[in-house]
Amino acid sequence: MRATIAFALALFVVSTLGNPAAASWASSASGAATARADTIVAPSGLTSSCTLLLGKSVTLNWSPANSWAGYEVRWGTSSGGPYPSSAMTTNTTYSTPALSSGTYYFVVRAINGAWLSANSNQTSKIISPLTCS
Amino acid sequence: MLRSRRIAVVALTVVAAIALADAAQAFWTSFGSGSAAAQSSASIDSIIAPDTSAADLYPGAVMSVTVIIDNPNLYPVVVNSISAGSSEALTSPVCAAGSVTTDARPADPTGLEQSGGAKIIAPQSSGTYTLTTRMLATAGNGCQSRTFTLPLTATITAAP
Repeated sequence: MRATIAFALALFVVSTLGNPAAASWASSASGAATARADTIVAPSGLTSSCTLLLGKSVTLNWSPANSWAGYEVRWGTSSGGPYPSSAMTTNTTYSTPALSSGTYYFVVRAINGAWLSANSNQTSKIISPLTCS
Repeated sequence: MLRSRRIAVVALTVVAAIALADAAQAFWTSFGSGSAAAQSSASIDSIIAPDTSAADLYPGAVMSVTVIIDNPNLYPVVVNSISAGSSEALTSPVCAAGSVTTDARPADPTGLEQSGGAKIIAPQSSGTYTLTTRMLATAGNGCQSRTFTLPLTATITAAP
């Protein structure tokens, strides 16, 4: 009996030593990744020119801001705002609908979802029945 | 005379048998006894550290980031899965929690591929893993120019 137990123990020891991979080594890891957000930039270099075809409209041009942003063109009749009229575009140029006589002030800002940039520089045009300057 | 000889033979046989049994027992005893030495190492948890950061996220953007996972153990390992990550809420200005996320790397019992294609992390070495990161299209204006930390966990097993 004692011999049998001893022999069985010996077999167990040998089998264990000879097969360490039988154990399953598992662990875990924790930590973090990081990410940074960009900043939406105001358009620059806004200029305006008159277009007298099909009524008096104003064509605006500006330098691009972020490549991933669109633009909101805004205008009104008060220098510095408010600018109650607006239109959206993905281009860096925009022509307004025909405007009635008056002095108009224009700005452009970049937009992507809820991200809005500051206004560009302001430009203006004076529209009269016969001229646009 | 003959009887006494017979008795002697029987006695000798018995003695021999006992001696042999003892020897066998001794043999078994010596074979079965002794000490075994086995070295075992408890598994050590790993650390996930940022490597390259997704730069210049904007609403709706999808980009890549990489993380480094180390193997402090004395045996090679594979990373079997990496959890999804989600940014915490930021204040001043407000940027809602979950504005930036990373996709989970689905579980693979054979191990996830590192950025270079290998699966196994050598003992006391590290591996680099690529994750897809996204900014919500509805991310608020307060999320501009911010740095986001995305907590992650991973499961690791010994390399087959």
